[in-house]
Formats: sequence, C-alpha cells, structure tokens
Amino acid sequence: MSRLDAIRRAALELLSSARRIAGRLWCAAARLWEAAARFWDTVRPTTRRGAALGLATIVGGASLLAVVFFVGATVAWSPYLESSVHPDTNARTWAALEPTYARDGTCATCHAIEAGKAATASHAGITCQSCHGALLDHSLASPGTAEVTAGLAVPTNEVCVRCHASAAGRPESLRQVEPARHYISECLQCHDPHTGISRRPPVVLHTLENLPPCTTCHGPEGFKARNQRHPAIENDALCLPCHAAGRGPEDR
Amino acid sequence: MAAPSATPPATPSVTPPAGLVPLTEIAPAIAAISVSRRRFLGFGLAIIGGLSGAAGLSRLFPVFEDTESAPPPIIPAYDPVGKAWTFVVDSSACIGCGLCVVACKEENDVTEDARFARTWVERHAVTTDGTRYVDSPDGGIDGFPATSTAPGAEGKTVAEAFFEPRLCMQCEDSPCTAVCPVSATYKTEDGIILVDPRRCIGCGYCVVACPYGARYIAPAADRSPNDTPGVADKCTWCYHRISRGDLPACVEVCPVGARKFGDASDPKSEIATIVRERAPKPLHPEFGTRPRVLYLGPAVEEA
Repeated sequence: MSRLDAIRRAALELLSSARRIAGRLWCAAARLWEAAARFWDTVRPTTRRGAALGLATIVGGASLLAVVFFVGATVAWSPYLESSVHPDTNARTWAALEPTYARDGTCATCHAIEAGKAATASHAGITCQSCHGALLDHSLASPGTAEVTAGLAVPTNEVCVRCHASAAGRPESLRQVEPARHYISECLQCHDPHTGISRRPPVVLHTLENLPPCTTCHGPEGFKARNQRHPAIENDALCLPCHAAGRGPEDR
Repeated sequence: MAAPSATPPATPSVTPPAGLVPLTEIAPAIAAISVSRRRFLGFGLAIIGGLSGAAGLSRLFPVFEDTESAPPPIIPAYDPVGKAWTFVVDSSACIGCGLCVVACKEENDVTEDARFARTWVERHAVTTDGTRYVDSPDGGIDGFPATSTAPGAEGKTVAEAFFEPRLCMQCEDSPCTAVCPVSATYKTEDGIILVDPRRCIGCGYCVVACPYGARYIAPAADRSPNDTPGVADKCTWCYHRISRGDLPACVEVCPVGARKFGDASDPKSEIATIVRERAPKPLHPEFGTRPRVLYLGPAVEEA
C-alpha cells in the first residue's frame, strides 16, 4: 500500500513540475509576443506592409513549391499507380543483368569443325551450351588468356544419361539405354559426342590374361549387339581384334 | 476500518531498490535544470526530426538511394512497346533431361536448393492400373529416373507418361500483382511480370495467390537487381536476355526444341506460325488468369 502511495506521490509531483514548466514556457512565449508587438508598433506602416508582403511571398512560395514537389514525387514513385516511374526503373534494372549463356551460333565462329559435325548428325539442332554449359564468358575472353579455359569442363556421362537413360515418358524415337546394362564406362570412350555415332567397338575394360574364353561370360545374348550389327561370336579370336583396348578401328 | 490518523501523510517508507533514484528527488532537479534541458531537448528534437525527415524522403524517393552505393546499371536499349512475347511448350517433345532447369539456375543464380526453382519439369505418368502420378524429383534438375518416384507409384509399371515443363505463365490477369499489398510486383509494358525486391516485404501473398505455383520466397540472395534474400522471386522469362534479343536460357539449351519463344507481334516469326497453325492452349484455362505460356501435346490434351 505504501509503495503505491509513494508512486502516486511521485507522479503527482512530476505532474506539478511539468505544469510549472509549461506555465513558464507559456509566459515566455507571451512575453516574446508582446515584445514583438511593441516592436511592430514602432515600425513605419510602409515598412510594415513591405515586410509582410516579403514574408508572405517567401513562406507562400516555399509552401507551394513543397506541396508541388511532394505531390509530384508521390505520384511519380507511387507503388500503387500504373503511371508511376517505379515499374519502369525496376524493369530496367532487371534488363541490365548480365547473361551467362551466349547467343546461339556464337560457338561456331571459332569451333566450326565441331559445330559442323553436330549439324550433320542426330545431335543436329542441339546447341553447344546444352551439354557444355554457359559459355558467354568463354566466348568473350581474349584468346590466350586464362579466362578462356576458366570453368570449362568436358561433359561427363552425367550429361549423356540425362537424355539417353531409358525413363518412363521418353519417346521411343529417342535412343535410350539402360546404363547398367549398356557397355558403360565413359560414354565418350566409344561415342563421338558431336555426332552421337559410336566410333569404335567398346574396348574390353578388364584384364585379358588368364581368363576363360570370352563366351564363358559373354554369350551372344550377353552383350546385346547394338544396331543388330553384331554377329554371334563362337571364338575368342574373333572378339579381341576389335575389342582389346586401343585396337578399335577409328571413326566408322 | 482504520481510524483517521492525526499524523501528516507519511513520507514514503519504502526504500527504492538500489540503483533507482526516487522520482521525488528528481522532480526538483528537473525544475532547476529546465532551461538548459529545454534547450537541449529542442536541439535533440531538431536533429531527430531532420534525420527522420531525410530518411523518409529517401524512402519516398528511392531513386536517390542507389546513386551513391551502386554504379548505375548498364541499360540496354530496349523498347518494350508493342512486344507480344509468347512462350510455347511442346510437352510431346520434352524428354525430361532437365537441362532447362540447370540452365535457369546458372543463368539467374537461383539458390542452390533444388526446391526453389524458377522453372521445373513434371512427369505425368499413368500406371497400368490406371492411376495417374505426377513426380518431379528436385524439379527435374538431375533428369528423371526410369520410373515414377511419386509416392504410391513404387513397383508399378508406367503405361503412359509425358513431361510437362513449367515456368511463370506471365498471366494477363495476374493474381500475384493483384494481391501484392505494396505493389512490389507489377507488369511491364511488354507483359512480363517482375518483382521489385526493394519494395517487396516478403509477405508471401503472391506465392499463395499464384495458381501455377510459380513463385517462392528466395531463402538466399538470387541474382535479383539488389541481391535481397527473403523477397518473392520467380521466372522473368530471362528479362535481361529477351530485352537484348536473346532467347531465355531454358529455350537456348533445350536439346529437342520443346520450348519455343518469340515475339508473336511479327506474323512471320516462328512463334506466330506455331500459335496460328498448331493452336497451343494454356494449362488450366479455368483458373481465369489468361496465362501467356501455351502448351502443345499431352499436357493440354490430357489435363
């Protein structure tokens, strides 16, 4: 109870001192006003008129300018108005972003051989950047500098299987393999990526010594003949000339 | 009832906690220093008023803000007036390689997380028991596995399936711009809907309003004009590319031409021919938003 009293008393005292301060302020203002009025009375009427007119011009003009500027700017940048400049300035900011993918056809200016190969085969119509990624920086780099090769990588199997791994929904007309059952190691070991054509028979990836005959594991059905080109093999001697590492005929 | 006491009102008997000066002791001091305090307060108020006024002004006129911090952007000469940008997606051609999703992430610096995608690919599969499943593993950014990954589709054989690339439909009657409480998202003169990340407050209304699920709140800074995390983001049809006369990145990389883009105001253009001769249709026209991405193939035939 006494704590509450103390607080109440303190609040009352604060209030009364605030009242005192307000009273003093008011008195000071009144004195100032009286002084101003006394001074005004001593000024000649013509000077008074001139001063009043000048003051009115300055204050009125400034207010008018402020209103015009404020209203105009509010309208111009209002987020709620179709006519505001906000969409336009922002759209320009979006438009000013830098691309990372080069325009189609840029690559062929330097890489005409690869582009030409691709244009004549089943990969025709696929742009370079589909597999190679964004190449604008590469195309803009000055020849011989480190920027030319910065971030460049030979596409891996990951890129090939995106299209060629069989999956529900892919059209029959698209060449599809089951990667686990295809002769898979590196797609590029056998396929020319630009034409898509298999350029050599798949090489044997395991050791060739001390093994039973090839047909022990690889029956005629074992590695399915792609394109039905492969005859059934009865004899090891017929396998290895083509399939031993590095012995495949180049580019069929 | 306590009897009225003869003693004068007791002085506060409670000792204030240490560190607190009783108000009764301060009040006279306030009165004593009132003149200097008044002057001080006046100065303080003037400074605060001036500062807040300046802050308010620069908030009101954002054009004053970026002149000092960032160099002025290079604005390509581009006239949006009269453009009729049109996007046609051929769902019968799409093979679900996901290269468009990869290209979009790369081109627009969309956050690494595959759940936040400006474009994504869905696979609509009907299993042999007649059930329809839709899957889009990580938005299709790594392509698609052999069978549907939709919950419940495990072990079932897919009888028929097609891929449906999705992106912002840039609707004529766009609900996102209608619901934005601060008009941070708006339509440009050429019909592309953009987000002003400096105005966006990240409330997420537009994310909910979009019936095509094209929007998200970016968890990290995309390559938005000012790299703001926590604001709404979505496909812009690669506004920076199309305003330079290039194709959107997803169209550029599509290996099978399932995505077509162009200005249909030129009747001789490829896109105008496709629209005229093959009559592509929007997805879910019943939403009433008049989408400007049009589809061919099973996406509209079977939708």
